[in-house]
Amino acid sequence: MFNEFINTLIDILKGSGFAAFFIGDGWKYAVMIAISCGLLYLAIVKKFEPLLLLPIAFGMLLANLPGAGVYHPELWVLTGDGIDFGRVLHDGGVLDILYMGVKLGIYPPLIFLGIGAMTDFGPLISNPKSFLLGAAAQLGIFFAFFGALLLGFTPQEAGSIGIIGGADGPTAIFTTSKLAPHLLGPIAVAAYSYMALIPFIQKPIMRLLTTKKERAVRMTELRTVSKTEKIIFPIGVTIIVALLLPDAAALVGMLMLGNLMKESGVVERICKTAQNELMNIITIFLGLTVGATTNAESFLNFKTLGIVLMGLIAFCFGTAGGVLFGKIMYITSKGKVNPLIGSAGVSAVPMAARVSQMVGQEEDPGNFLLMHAMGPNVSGVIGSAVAAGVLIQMLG
Amino acid sequence: MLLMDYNLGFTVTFTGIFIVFMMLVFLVAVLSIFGLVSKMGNKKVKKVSVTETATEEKKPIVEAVNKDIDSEQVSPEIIAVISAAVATMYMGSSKKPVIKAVKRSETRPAWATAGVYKNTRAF
Repeated sequence: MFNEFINTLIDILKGSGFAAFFIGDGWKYAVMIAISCGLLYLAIVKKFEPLLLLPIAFGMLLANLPGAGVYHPELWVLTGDGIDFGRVLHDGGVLDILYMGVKLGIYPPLIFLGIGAMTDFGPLISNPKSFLLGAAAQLGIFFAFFGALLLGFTPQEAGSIGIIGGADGPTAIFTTSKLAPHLLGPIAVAAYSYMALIPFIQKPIMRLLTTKKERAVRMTELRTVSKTEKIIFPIGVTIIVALLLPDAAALVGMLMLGNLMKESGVVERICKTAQNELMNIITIFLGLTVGATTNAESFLNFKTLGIVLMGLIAFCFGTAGGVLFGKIMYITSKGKVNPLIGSAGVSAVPMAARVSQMVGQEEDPGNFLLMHAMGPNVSGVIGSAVAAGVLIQMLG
Repeated sequence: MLLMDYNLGFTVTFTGIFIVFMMLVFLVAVLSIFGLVSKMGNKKVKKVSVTETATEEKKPIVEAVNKDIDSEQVSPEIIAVISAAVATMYMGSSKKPVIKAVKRSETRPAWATAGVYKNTRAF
């Protein structure tokens, strides 16, 4: 009887997750758990984009607990007949079911709906030239794409890595889920980590590429935008962008729907839902499931290092592209445009605009660039969605 | 590691940059035209309202009727704040509201009233 007791205990231990650490490559799970704890520290203590990094880190933790069975990467391997969703529904865990929202491209457009409902496009409408700064800041995407190709990534992987430079989490997830879903985890972690580091990445580049005189430029007050303009803007942009680039329709369309709900003023209840409850629910599901895709096989390899490096290059080139175009506008406008607002063309709203404000105030404490920088900032959201559409169309 | 397909790399890079720029340049043009049309429309409205009010005596937008105000319950500062808030609401409108009375509410507190209104209005 004592032997049976010991044997039962041994069997339980052998079947536990602890034993799995010592079988084959099981040690990688322990490494991933340690990384997830590190990311949780960054999210909670250092407050690095906690709204997304916390669920991503916890999803990573859940997916790398051996034997937990909340996520099954083998269910999402593409076969000749595509994904067997029937098998997912039958054999999948909770995160497999929730992951369908990522795989089917549902969550990112819904996040964009919430973003649109919280965005004021007034500064952009009053100064349409801000669109050009938003376009210039997307240069980082394509430079990083080229760099990733040089490193040996496939074109689809390179496109997914390049989109990190758009500084837009939902866009990066949407593009990667279509082009290179096996890289979703590392790309999402890289994208959100770099977005949290924007003040540290952008400031040295902005100071390097501008002179004191340029940084001190005070811009003229923006004109008042009428309610009619704010209502027609989302409708017009949706029609124009969706007709010219259908692959961007999902993201841009939902962004503009959210904005129209906000500006029309006649659907306050659903607008509030989009801004709050819907956004929060989708954020939880998206973060959790994206984190779950970061299993040891997909994360602990040299490709992840390449993604981290190229992601940083994408951010740096995007910032540089926006600032340099800002300098061109400074010259052509005879000193009326402050080049610092160009760096806000990366679509990390509103952090990038705040960075422009902070750097401008270092030269002139009375210089308020925030609203001027919001124009390029929100145009960057549209620009990154357009760039994503281009990449999906050309590489998908 | 070497680039496997320079052709694809250059094609996607330059085409992508070109398309993004052209798309946003097009949006700039459309918005600029729309902005001009909007400005022209506003100028016409301003001309009409300027000629209409040119002969009128300048009056304050909001007129407070002091005799209706119970000064024991509502201080002049509160009346001034309420007047400023009402004036801001009607700024740019052709309507000129007149505050006839400011009285302290004796029934349900304002926040509670707002909550009841929000929860009972039609869907």
